Amino acid sequence: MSQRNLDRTLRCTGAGLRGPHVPVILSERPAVPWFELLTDNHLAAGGALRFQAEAVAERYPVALHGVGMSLGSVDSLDLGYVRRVVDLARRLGAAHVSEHIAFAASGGLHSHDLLPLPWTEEALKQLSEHVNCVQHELGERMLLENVSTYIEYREADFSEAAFLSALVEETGCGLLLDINNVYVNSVNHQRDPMELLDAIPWASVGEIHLAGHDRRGDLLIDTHGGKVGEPVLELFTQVMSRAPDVPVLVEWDTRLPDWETLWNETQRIESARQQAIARDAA
Amino acid sequence: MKIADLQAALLAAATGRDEPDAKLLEWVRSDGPASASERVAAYRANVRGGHLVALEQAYPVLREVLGPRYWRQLLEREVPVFASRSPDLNGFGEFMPALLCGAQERRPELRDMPYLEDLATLEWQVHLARLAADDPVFDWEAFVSLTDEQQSQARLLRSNAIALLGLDYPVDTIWRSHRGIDAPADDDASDVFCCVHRDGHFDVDVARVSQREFEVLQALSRKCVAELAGADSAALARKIFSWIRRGWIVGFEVDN
Repeated sequence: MSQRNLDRTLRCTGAGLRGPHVPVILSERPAVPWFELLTDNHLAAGGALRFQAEAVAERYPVALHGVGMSLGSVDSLDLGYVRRVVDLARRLGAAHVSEHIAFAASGGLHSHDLLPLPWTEEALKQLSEHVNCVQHELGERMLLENVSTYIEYREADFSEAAFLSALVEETGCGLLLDINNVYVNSVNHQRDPMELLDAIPWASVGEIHLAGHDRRGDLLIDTHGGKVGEPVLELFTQVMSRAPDVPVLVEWDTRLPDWETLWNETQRIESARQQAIARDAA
Repeated sequence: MKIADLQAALLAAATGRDEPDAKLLEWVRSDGPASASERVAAYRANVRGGHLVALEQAYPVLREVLGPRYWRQLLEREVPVFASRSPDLNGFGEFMPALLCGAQERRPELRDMPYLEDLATLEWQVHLARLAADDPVFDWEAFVSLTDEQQSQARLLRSNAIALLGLDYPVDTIWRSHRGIDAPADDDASDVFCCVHRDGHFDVDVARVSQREFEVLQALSRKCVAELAGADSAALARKIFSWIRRGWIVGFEVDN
């Protein structure tokens, strides 16, 4: 792959790459600053998905974002899977690899969903061991994302923000701050989102995610099924200047619109980001 | 609360059909806008939703044949656990032929569709062919530089993106017609032999082959060219050239 002349730094607001958009992206070459690829969609040994990932990475800076490592699980890490991710990251020249603060597997069974951890010392120790192992395989730090949760546990040794800080301290990892998840959790667990946003180690934030959510019964569900909601955008612009150079990503997965709609949404977020930074600098 | 117990309980509740066990509900905070069981149910809905999408992507023709509503009902009732042994969701769904075989014994409405198991087998191989490793291009120059003796002793290598299927029913006609591709006319045939293959543009197709071609293709990696040829070596040579052109054969090995 010819990547030598491409600056691979992630800047401003990028978009999540989704399969149906790839043909138009490769033919029209929109001025998207960067793309995030869902790791698990591109792990195939060959075929169109692998070709598309390589074609996009030849033209744009990319990052990898995965859901399959189950880093918080008491099950041992699937090192074969981790090494496939590392191989993909190297092949694509990914700026970084990110995963989630969650577990997906237990007793060898995989749910393929992000199930919440308790904020306990035991969970922190388990998660840190796995993050250190992946970082060792990668040869660099990875980013860990705060997830949306529909349950919390009675037992806790930390607040969520204190757990994130301790994880950063234990492993040297970076954080992928998902502001939609912060908002969803604040509604689902009835707390002030700023409690977390004021307490996390901002110097460790390496990427910010924004997405849409839906209401299902009494809970907000992190569906990535629409435009970024107003309360989420408000939170984002409130805190953006704490990490003005951190790349931002718009995620849209379900009820996927055409590329033009996603690109318009990405530009709307970038415009809000720039306005917030200018406002806070004034 | 041991984290291992908690994880086992939440995973069972999120992937299974049963209500969450009482111990899990005790561990979960139930204050706020929803009860503990409603909160656990949100995970179950997400897990099932994700797996149903994965199955829909792997089995689009089967879903169309059964109808989207019945397809969903069938999976909701027949899949005992929405979980897999691999972190890679692309590997979820291999169970479908066996599931349909079992479901046909229990469900009278499926008994006049005995071909469903074969159709699921075919679609799973199509799914795997899409994801298979890319192949090298056949090195003609190296092959023609071999002596006649070496060529006859060479073992030919099949593409990674090929699957050979012997089927009881001509489900390739169903698959091809649902994909808008001309289907073979003999849709009453039984004991059909098919080759699922991916072309250079990443499109997957299913070709009908004869029993003799099927057996030769199956034997490629085990037998050298001379052993495969039998009585009609000229016919085999023509066939092999056509398979190389189609990308079904991608290389060769010669013992030193």
